[in-house]
Amino acid sequence: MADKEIVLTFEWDGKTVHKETNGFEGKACTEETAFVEEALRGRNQKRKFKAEYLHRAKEKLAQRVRA
Amino acid sequence: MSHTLDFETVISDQDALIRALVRMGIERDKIEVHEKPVLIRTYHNEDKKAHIIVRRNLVDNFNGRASDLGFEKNDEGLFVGHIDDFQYPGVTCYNEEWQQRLYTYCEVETAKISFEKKGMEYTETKDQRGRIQLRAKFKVIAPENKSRIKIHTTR
Repeated sequence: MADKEIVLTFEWDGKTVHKETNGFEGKACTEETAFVEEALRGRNQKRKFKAEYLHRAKEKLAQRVRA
Repeated sequence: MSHTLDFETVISDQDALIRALVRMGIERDKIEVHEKPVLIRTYHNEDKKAHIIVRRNLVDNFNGRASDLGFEKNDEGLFVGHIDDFQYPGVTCYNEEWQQRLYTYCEVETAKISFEKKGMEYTETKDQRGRIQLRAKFKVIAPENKSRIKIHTTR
């Protein structure tokens, strides 16, 4: 199992941060790393999920429809 | 499984702000910290108060400074900067670029503090575009230790 990690990249504009998480399963990445966003008081959040997350979510939805 | 998220930030952590000021080259013992806001000297002599202050006569790097540098904590717990951006020939003080660097360091230090509180290890590097990057790893509890965790319940 891959190590869980958070990678933060800071734009030099003094207000924009990019957060990337690796090694998490499903929604755990959002829940377990929320503390960083809370610390930074994230606002105007614009989530951009990676393709693998979207693919897994699509598969789950398809399974539900078939069931 | 992973995802990315972009968001905007604000300054709410006093320690992060102080650490950021130090990273900007201001010595720690020249940064005043007040529980209640006190008056600062501004270019136009307005009545402005601040909790975190760098007095104009205490910083040697920018000769000709006419204002104190102040940060006031508002009702929402956020720090608002009272910063005069004035420029003389050969001397640039607290301009927009300076402020953006300060606020970026604030974000970096805020994130570091949140990792430290969780006992996480982190590294700071720069990416190919020169942006600061923090990489923090979660502590993994070994399976043998997991089984030793006892859960006590009370009725």
